Amino acid sequence: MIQFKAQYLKERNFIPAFTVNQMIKDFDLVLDTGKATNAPMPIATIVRQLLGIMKAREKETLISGRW
Amino acid sequence: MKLVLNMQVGIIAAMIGEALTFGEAGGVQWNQMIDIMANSIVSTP
Repeated sequence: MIQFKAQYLKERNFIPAFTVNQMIKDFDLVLDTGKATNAPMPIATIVRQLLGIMKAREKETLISGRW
Repeated sequence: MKLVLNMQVGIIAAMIGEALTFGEAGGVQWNQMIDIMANSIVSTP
């Protein structure tokens, strides 16, 4: 994924391929499924919280200090 | 399976963003940092 994104990152082009809402939908499905199947998901839980912050701020990026 | 892949995409994006911000804040040259990351073990986990 870094190789795929390398040129975009060099240009500081952070335009996402997914929207925040799409990622939130998938992460909620993941976390619901993990809960139902008793699979521990600590990292996905943190990323879901970050996506929630992005949605609340209506931003597509979370890089600190570069809103 | 779609969710298995997409959760990794989401987690990796957060991880790369945090690492790049950390590196730049520490004075690592931006383009050099991306080149090294793209050719390192983290590029093909």
